[in-house]
Amino acid sequence: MLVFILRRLLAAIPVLFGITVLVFLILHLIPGDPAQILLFGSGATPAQVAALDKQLGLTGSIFSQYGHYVVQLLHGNLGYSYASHETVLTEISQQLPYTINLALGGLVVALGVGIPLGIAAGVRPGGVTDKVATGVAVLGVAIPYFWLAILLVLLFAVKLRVLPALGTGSVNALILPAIALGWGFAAIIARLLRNNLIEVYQSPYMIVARAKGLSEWRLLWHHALRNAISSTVTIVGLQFGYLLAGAVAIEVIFGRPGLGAFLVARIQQKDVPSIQGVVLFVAVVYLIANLLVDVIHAMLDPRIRRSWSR
Amino acid sequence: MGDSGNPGTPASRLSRRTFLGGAAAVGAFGITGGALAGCAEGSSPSSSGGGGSSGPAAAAISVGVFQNPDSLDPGQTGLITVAQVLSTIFDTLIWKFPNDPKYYPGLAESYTVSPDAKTYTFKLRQGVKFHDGTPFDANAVKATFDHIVDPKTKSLSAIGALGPYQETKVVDKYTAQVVFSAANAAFVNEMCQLTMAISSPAALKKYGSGYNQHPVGTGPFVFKQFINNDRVVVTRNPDYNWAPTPLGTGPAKLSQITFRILPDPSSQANALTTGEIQIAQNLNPGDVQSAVSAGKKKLTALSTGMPYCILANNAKPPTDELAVRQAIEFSVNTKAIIDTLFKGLYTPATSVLTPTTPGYNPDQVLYKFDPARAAHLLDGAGWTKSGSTRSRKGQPLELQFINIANFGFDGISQLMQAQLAEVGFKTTITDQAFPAVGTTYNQGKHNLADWFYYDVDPYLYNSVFTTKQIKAGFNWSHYSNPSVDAAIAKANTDPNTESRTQRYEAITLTLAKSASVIPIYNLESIVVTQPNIAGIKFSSVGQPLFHSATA
Repeated sequence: MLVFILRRLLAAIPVLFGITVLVFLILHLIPGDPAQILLFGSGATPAQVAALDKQLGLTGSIFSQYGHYVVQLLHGNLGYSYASHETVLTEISQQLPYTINLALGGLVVALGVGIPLGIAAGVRPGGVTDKVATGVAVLGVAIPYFWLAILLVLLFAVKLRVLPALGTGSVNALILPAIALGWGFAAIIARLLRNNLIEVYQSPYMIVARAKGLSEWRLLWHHALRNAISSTVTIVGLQFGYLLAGAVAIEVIFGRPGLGAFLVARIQQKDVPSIQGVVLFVAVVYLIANLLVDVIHAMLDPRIRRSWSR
Repeated sequence: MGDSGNPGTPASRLSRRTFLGGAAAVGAFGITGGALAGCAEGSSPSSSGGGGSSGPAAAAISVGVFQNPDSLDPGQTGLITVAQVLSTIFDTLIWKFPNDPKYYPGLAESYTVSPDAKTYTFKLRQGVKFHDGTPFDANAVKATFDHIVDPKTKSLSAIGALGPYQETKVVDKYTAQVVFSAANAAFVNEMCQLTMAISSPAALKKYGSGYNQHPVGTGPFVFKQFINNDRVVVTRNPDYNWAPTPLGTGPAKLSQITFRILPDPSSQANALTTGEIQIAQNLNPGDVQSAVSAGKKKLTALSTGMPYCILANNAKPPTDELAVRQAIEFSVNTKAIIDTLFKGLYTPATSVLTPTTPGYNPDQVLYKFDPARAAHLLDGAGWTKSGSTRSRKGQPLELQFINIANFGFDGISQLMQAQLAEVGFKTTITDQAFPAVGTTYNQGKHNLADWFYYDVDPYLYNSVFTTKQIKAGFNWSHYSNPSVDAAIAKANTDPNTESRTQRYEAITLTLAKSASVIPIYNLESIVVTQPNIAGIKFSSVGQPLFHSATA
């Protein structure tokens, strides 16, 4: 197991390297000089623009700039934001808790709605519960989360006045954003769990277990779910990125701070260091999420573990 | 029981049951942690809807702003929206208000300008204290202006507004003399901007580069909290007693203002409807109309500067011909544009400057919508109509309209294209992102360019219409007239407000006659409030002032 983890970590290093190259390149291919943007409208002389260029490390060949960038990264320095006179690391760490709260809220909704729905649909395929649950799941996947967010605000906040329209200031304020974010995810979990359950129920060992006289509840909890959940977990982990991505629009619609709103604002301001910092951060989160998912999957399913040790 | 599946599997040290149990524990911990963090979110001071506990005197309000402040240091910020937040925390030496020619004492009781417009002497108000208890005096003025030009500050707006600053002399405790290395008549207006507001020297020293998150001024409200992308909170300063006369006397009436940072105009509109904010700004025109129909109040304020307009390139054919530029002026129907795109919300612009800018004069309104006149001008210049596009000696009348992407001109450019086609112009629209488009404009590849400019003094012409700004500056109309260059420089040496204004009126008339600026709509702030909000005034650049506001 330990060997496996170490091997996966080593494999992640070239991926990380590739990410830094891509992030660095893409933003440096954008036309326009950030120093010029920053000083636009302030009556700065060309000498002042050149001085700011030098200060921001934007002079020299693209290789030396990249080298400079990597060295900074290795020191834990994600750069200095042009737009706010703060270090990118400080800003990300300030904004991150809000996104984590939102993502966790979304996850609670996703699991809290998706798992029961998936189970209800999977144990009695073709039945009324299945049809209803599948219908809800299809709606969840088909409706764009940002449209759902706007609908939720219009109904529960503006029309019914039971929940706030703005996403900060109280725990209540997290409810609508979490639903908007988690709903689509819930639908995906429900469908997956349903399909996996149906498959599992048809396995030989389930027939044996039923023949042994186990109750339906025991069958579900001790046998079916355990097998169905492992592949669901994998997809859930991979879809975690969906939560992070969805956070962008949700944060803007609800006026919440967070990495998403932060990224949107900085893209508009063409603040290169912030954008690089957030993209790099998100890429690392994906890498870690993938690694964790692989490990969890292996832990849950001994067949996977055995295939590695070969 | 352990693992199901294949019999004979060696039991792993970590059985699935143990793992699942552990995972559930981690999950529960995570969710609890999230809930606790959520509670932490909830503990930030949320403001109640208007009308708190004991009537207007105790009210706290929330104001929606669409941009996150880049800095709360007046000398550093580059955003106009930040000015309304700064106006609660800081004061300027002198104040000026729209449609009012008077200069009002603020932190300075009076000022004089030397005949060469290089030295400004301020007699300062006594008995004023900063929010940190330190006294306001000439040292504070010196510290503030030195801070603006300090390279470590990386000032974005203030440094340009200040001008060719040399030093501030502390003549005595309550007399400060600001000296410029060249004539700076514009400073009389620039010094009234919030970017020139006075900071506490003790706080500047104490916080250093962190001052932008801990602003300390003399204003009617004290800074309390700034959560990036979420809110800025300020609470009433009970000792405040030095507002300029138009803004009332004594401390502010509101107990607290929370500026909620809401970049999405729809979320501001929703929050106004639910009562979560009392004041909304930058709403979509449709939402403004709905709010007004629902009983909300609408306040408008013009800003000084150059309106939303189109610049015609004097150096590229066919806009290098005066007749062609004039024809464009007569072809554009600004009322139709404003009605179609903005539901009639804005006022049409009619000159190079907005009506509240010194230097504006109704005599400068030379053009109106008159397609027949446009056609006549083009005929006279030899551009004859044969088919939909005019031509001359086989050369079609074509215009290159280069738009700045996401600048708010997309609809305008398309409507203009249609209006110009009626008269016989063929217009091609392309979009370019800022700031790369600046280089394109400098190279003169366009016939028509987007433009607007916030500034309090007509000396803005020095950045926009002088010959030296063509190569790498803002002179995107490529207008070059040496006598205008000289007139602008001369105007900036004139310390007398009246004669200086007359000089700029003459310059503006010359610019208007050159038909280089096609005005569309004026810079205007539209503020929508709950019905119980009153007493909001506006600054020269259209930012709301809350000194005398009540809820």
